[in-house]
Amino acid sequence: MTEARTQALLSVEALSVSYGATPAVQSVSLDILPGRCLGIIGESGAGKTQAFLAMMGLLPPQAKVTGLASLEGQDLLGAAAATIRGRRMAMIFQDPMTSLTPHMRIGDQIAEPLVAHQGQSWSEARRHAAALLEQVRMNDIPRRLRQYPHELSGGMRQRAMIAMALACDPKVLIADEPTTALDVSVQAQILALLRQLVSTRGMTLAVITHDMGVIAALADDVAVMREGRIVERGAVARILGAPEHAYTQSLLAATPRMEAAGAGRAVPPSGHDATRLSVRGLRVNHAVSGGAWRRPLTLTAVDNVSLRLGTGEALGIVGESGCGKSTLSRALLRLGPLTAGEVVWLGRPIQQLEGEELRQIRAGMQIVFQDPFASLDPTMIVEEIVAEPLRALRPSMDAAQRASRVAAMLGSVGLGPEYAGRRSHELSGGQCQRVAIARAMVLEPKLLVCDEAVSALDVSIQAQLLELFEAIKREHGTSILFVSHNLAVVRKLCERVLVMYLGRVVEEGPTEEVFLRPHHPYTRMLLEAVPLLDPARGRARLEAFVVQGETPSAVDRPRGCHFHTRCPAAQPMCAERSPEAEPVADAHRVVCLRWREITGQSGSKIS
Amino acid sequence: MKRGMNKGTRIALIVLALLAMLALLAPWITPYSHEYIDWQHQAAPPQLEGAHWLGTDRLGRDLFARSMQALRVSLMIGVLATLVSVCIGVAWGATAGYLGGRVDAVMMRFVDIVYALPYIFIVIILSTLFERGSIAALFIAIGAVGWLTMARIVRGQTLGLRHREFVDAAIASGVRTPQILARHIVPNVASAVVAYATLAIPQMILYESFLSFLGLGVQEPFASLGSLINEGAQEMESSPWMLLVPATLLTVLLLAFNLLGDGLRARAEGER
Amino acid sequence: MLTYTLRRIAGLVPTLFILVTLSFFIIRLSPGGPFDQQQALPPEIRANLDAAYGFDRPLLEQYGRYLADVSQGELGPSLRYKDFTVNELIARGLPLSLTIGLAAALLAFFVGVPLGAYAAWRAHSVSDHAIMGFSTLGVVLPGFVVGPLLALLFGIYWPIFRVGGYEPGVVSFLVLPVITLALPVSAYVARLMRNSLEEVLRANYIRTARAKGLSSREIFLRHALRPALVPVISYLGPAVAFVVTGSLVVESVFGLPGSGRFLVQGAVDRDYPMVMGMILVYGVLTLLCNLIADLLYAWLDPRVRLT
Repeated sequence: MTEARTQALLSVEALSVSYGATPAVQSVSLDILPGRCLGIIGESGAGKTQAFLAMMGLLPPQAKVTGLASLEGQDLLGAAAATIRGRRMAMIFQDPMTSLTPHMRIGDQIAEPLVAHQGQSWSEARRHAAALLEQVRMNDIPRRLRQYPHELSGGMRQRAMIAMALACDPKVLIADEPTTALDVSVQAQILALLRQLVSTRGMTLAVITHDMGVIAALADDVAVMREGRIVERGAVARILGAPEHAYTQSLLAATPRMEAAGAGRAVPPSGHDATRLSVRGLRVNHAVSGGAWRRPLTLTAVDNVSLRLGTGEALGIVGESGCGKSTLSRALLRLGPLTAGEVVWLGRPIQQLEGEELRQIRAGMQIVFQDPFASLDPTMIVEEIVAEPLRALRPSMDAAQRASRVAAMLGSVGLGPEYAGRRSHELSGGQCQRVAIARAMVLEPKLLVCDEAVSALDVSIQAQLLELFEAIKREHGTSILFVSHNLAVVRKLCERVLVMYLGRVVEEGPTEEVFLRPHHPYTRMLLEAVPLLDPARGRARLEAFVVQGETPSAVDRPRGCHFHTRCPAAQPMCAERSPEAEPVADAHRVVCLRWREITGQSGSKIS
Repeated sequence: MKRGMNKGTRIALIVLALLAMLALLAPWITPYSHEYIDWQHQAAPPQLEGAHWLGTDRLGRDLFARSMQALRVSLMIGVLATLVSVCIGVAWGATAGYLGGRVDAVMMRFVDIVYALPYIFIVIILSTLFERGSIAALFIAIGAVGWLTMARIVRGQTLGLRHREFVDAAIASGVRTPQILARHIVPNVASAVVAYATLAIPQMILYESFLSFLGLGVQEPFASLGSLINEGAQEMESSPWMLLVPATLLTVLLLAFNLLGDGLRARAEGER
Repeated sequence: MLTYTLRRIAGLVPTLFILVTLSFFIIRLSPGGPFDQQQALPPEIRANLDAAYGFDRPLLEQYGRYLADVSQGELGPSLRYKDFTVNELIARGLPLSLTIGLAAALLAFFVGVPLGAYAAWRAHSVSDHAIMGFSTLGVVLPGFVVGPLLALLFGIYWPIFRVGGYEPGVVSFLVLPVITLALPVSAYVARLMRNSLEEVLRANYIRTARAKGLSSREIFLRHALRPALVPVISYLGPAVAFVVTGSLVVESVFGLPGSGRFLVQGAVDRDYPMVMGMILVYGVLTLLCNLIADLLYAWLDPRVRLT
């Protein structure tokens, strides 16, 4: 327990939640002091959300709640607690898209608690709503008030949710995974906003998250939860710097860090035959309906991208949503549309291949997807799933040979023979992903594309799978194309990296080089947005975060350099001319008109 | 298959099995045929110990025998018409959903337009296209329009499935398109298809009964539950059992199918 | 919203066209002709009749002439009731059919929606099971079973309402037919509403509304009702179509002089203009109802207006 010299604002004692015989929360006790932020960290299933839903009285009727919880001495678990909800205690949730009512305007949703709890008229309340939107730094407020949730971007929706929660000036705000569904740059903005609410308004904040970086950015005190219990608690500096409990230590160890040693420099491929994959000028266009009577528009998802991948090399492709990285990876695997450009695989151009020829080369290039459950056919057992590529492309193998190969593959991804007869709904996310990897590797491909392959997994599982990819790279010499939005993960696995924005490559080079000496303003922004695990430095960096706004829609890309609308170093010429790739150093290239001037001014390393 | 998780579903299944058995075995249970006219017992009320368990109709034909024959006809038409719908509907819907794009647009536009037409009229017209009393024609007429809903459902399911990652994975593994349709798409829509097919059977039976009631369906001396109800409705003041027997039979039949179908549908949706 | 409406109305025209065309060719190509039912006619008289009605012309020409007539609202002469045009005959029966149909539709909606909403609100309780039980029964019982039963019960054993035939202005004749017609629709609507509302109440945005501390009433009216109504509105089109066509049965069972019988009789008699006329009239009605349902749907869910 934290030393309570001042009276705790929110006090919880031996709180337990169970559903029938299954416990979700087991005897949790904690205090939140006024004006401080408590961070609750744990992996999925830890019970962290359940505990706070119990405090808010939002659990379904079949949940059994025991224990005590009170806000400023007032009981939260009884029937009288209904008056506190939304007024003195508010909560925001993970997914703003589904958490906002789709058929109500934003302004009305924000105004609603004011009308309901403070008896304001609707016009009064809407004026208040505008003021609230200002506090959360929303842009173009009069328009936003009248818009519906689906017309707003992710970050704006989350701001609207925060404004809604702040409407009645609550004493405590509970934020459940507030930034998980957002791009990293938007995440930085929202984290900065939340931190500012705590420091300037004296708001008391409880943040639930699975991300250590968010803890470092926001929390003053930390509680670590596992399987319904709190296993460790303390001030944030101590928890992050000198954790005592084994679980906390393992969580921190599994979290990939930007400061740690990465994959190192790649040995430059010797000779031309070492290049397995060569992509030149790849372009992917989508036709999008322009609306009722207008002609269809062209959305350029991938714009003139070129890259090279050698034997046993891992190339990371990073960028935020809408940058085209997934479209790119599917196009070069010939799983998705490809409008123009050249893809040369093992010396052979494949962009025009069709039919049987295309089928045959598929054996050499495989993919692992983001969603582990959707990757496996729910009607098939594991054995059949892993054997399917063999049946399709190795018809000469008989059943016995297939069976032994499947068993070997399962073993190599860490799954024993007892898994062969199971179906996807009997497996965990991590296990499903292992099956997907076994299936991808069963044909011994020379290229493995990982499309956000670890993004949907808990941090400890993530670390295990990264090791698996590392082993695949080392032992089989498989080339890996690793698509991810998580820079720290990319740093751990990939020797080279490609940064994309709105369909274009903006910077590429050896990972260490690009991450330590970024030359493109967007790359810098991405790096600065990654939350550090050092609270003091992390917060200072958040406050200095300068890039505003969000990625524009891909249908309406800005002219000239796409990034100029958000770039702190933009000049008029950036809107007129499109930059070309220019070499910075050996194998390090940047696509910016002003990179020389920018680096000259503040060319410091990211420390 | 974990059948009948719901008590109601299980009961429905049992009832259906019983009815089917009864209908099939009736000729061996009752001494009367559905045509035999018993001059001594015309319009006789039901007598459990007596000759006619459920009574007779206006002409003296045993109601139990007639009802069982009608039940056979209704079941046969319902099941066959549904089978026709399922075959056409699944093929149509899966193709449209998987191929997507223009093919899908054209195929589903056709479905939309035919769907917008007053269904019952098409059935009436189609049933008059053939000679009166042709049972085969009847169930083709009914089933030929019933595939629309099935096509829509299958197409919707296929659209959702096509973009699931395991389909992409199968393509990346080199599996050919017919294989993908057969091994991945169809098994995954199977539970939805079975559920809706079970719900479609009572629909078909209802339409057939409706046509028979109007005089357009099954003709003398054969009966369907609909025509029996029609006769019974005309005599309901004097001989209410003539209405109540087929009406109850039809109701129980439809109820059982609906309960079973609902249970299957709940299970199919739970799997998604 | 306006552009969406106009687009939808424009979309009706091709559908109507196909409706007319399909019906025309199907009924024409079916075996048997309008004059087959009567005694065998001598060939010359037969030829004269054919010529008088234009049946000796090529089929396509007949089709063209029919289209021209229809576009001016002329549905042609009845072949069965020789002194009347189809317009006249339909006009006699249509008002009654429409009255019954509309009354049934309104009844179904205003009974079904509240019942379903209540069942969802008290999900898994005794009331919920009771309402759903009623719903299952209502969906399953066909009109031609319920009709006679109701007539037996409330028309003959306990004569509360009058049955059999119709006297203009006497509403009592219409009560049981309307209830019979409304029953399956209201049962289905209740079930739709209940399942839809139950699903909506589990949505994330309802959790947010609860977190805002709103009362159950506020949540239901402002946040849950509109999305929950969506499947119900989607069903409204087919529902009204069902009611409109179902009046066939009800008119037959209760002996009401509506327009439904003209269709069935016309199909049997091969009275081409009559059948075509009925199909057109009912087809237009159905399409109109679908249109209104579509527009309501777009009003409820702003995202649909983009399509």
